[in-house]
Amino acid sequence: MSKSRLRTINGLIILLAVLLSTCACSRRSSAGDQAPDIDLVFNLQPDPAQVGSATLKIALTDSNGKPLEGANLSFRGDMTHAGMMPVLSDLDETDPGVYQADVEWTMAGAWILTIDGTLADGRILQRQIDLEVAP
Amino acid sequence: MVRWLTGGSYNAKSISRSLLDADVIMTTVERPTLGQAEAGGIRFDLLHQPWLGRLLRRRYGRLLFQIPLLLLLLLVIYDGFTGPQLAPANSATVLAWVHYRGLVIVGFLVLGNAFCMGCPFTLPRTLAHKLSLHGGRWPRRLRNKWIAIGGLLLIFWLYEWLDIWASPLLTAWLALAYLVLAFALEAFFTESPFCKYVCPLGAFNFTYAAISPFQIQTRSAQVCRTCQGKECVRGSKDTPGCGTELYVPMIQSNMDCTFCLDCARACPYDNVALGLRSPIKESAALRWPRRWSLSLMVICLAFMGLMNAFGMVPPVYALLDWLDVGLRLHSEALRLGLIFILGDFLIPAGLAYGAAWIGMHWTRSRPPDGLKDLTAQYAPAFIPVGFGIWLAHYGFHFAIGGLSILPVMQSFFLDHGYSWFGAQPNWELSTVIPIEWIFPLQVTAILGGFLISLYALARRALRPNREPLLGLREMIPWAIVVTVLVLLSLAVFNLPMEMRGTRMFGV
Repeated sequence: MSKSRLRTINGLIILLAVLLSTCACSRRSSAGDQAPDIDLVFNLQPDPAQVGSATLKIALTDSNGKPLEGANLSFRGDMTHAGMMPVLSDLDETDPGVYQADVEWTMAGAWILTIDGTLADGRILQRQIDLEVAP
Repeated sequence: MVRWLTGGSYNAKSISRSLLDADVIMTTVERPTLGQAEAGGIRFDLLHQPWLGRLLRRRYGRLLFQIPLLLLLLLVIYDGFTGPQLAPANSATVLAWVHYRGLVIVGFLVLGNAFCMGCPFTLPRTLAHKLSLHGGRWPRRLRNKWIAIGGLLLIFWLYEWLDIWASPLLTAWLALAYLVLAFALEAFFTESPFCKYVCPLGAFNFTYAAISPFQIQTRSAQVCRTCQGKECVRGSKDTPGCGTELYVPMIQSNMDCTFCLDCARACPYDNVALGLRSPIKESAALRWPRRWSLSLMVICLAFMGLMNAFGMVPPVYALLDWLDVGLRLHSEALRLGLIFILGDFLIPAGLAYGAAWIGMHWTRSRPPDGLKDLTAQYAPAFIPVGFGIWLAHYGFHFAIGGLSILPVMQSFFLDHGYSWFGAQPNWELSTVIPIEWIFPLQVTAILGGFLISLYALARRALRPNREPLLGLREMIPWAIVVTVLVLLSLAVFNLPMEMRGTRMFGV
């Protein structure tokens, strides 16, 4: 292989690496969790989770253990494999700082639950929980 | 092969040296029929249809398929690196593990090796080829399918061990590694060894293109007999010849054919057809080259279909636990490696060897190359059953999640500030067909493949000038292996499907 062609190939490889590094460094519009001090307690019935209907309860408390009221929360359940329809639901506040939703586990396996929403003070809360659903 | 070329009506000296190398032509049979047109004509030639044919035969016709796939590949790499690291919400994982796998299977049924035809990995490869001076040829010892088998094993093992199916980032790295490998091999070797000897996707596609309704054929054998240039394999001034060094008049199967159509573009006589044929011809009637690597690749791929589905059902956890506690194999990589080496290669290879051995001793026959000949004789019959198993598995994922790409792309554009496709992704979109249809269709696919495989075994066993009883004896061990494979597959698909347990894969 001639030196000039080898240089061209090297140049292309470096260009590709730079382009990909640029891509890898760019981020998309996700605000992420802005309330790491908030404690989230997750409760699911039945527990352990099984395919079928379930009730999901989330309790939010601040760093002093005081229930956090007035949050606007939604829930999203994704299987770890691509191509599966997510389970989506809004959470209703049933007691002070306690939020509840009815969900349907459509398939056994590994799920990733994402709790997403806005707290009363405007901060964004985003948490993920891994869950195994039995057949 | 060389004997036939020099003894036939072709001028062997006019064919490139590489073509005369017996190892480079995988589709050659002992007595090739020269020109299907002579043997009854081509029923339907896609390349000579009014609109599509002209498009396909144009100099840059392949780019029409490659450019969209290249853009999708770049999307996979970009979104994999930068997008949400949640497999169902990222186009990298959805496109790679739902759509590519589902559509490539459908492509075999309606056309042929459609993915290789539009393969985006060959675009940078072509660039590399132009940049490189002609280096050495691919080592002779490696001109077989052993690397492809190893590549298949490696990719299935990595897929499970690293949970690539659940990781957009790793999916993007895999696509990138593919690009770099294709580029590097093309830059350093004169022919295109990546497609033919290395690429695991190509190995899968070559194998299951055997059930495709189309194949490269000659329109007139006479034209090829008098052809001096052999442009279809050597290339013309403007068009490269066949990248995998197949010579059109000798092509009897889709093995190693990437459907690139360079042969058709290079032929100065417009004598190449993409002709209709029987989809079961290769499995049932054609004599394949007698090579262990080729035979075992076909047989192992059928078992890989079973093992790939087995990884998604509950009994695999019990097996992993047993390996962990019983054999004290605490490393997940090791346990998965052991399962895949056994289930994907050693057991199928052992069963093939055993079936050939029993058949040979039961019939007291002594083929020239013994077990290798018998294995090559019956290996193609595993293609329909293997295809049925893969169709049941990949078809499941596509059926259950084919439409999920729509909300994923809606979300992608919204992330970039574009609301062209709606202000909210419609995450309710997912299934292509009603879920209750899926299992009956899976059973139909497996049983359909099974019946065609049995027919293929019978066609291969019952030959003229041979006692039917001897053929039956030779065939029975193979029929038992195929039956066991089908029963296990039905059992696996009948189990509740789990979309990848965290316990197994350590998510």
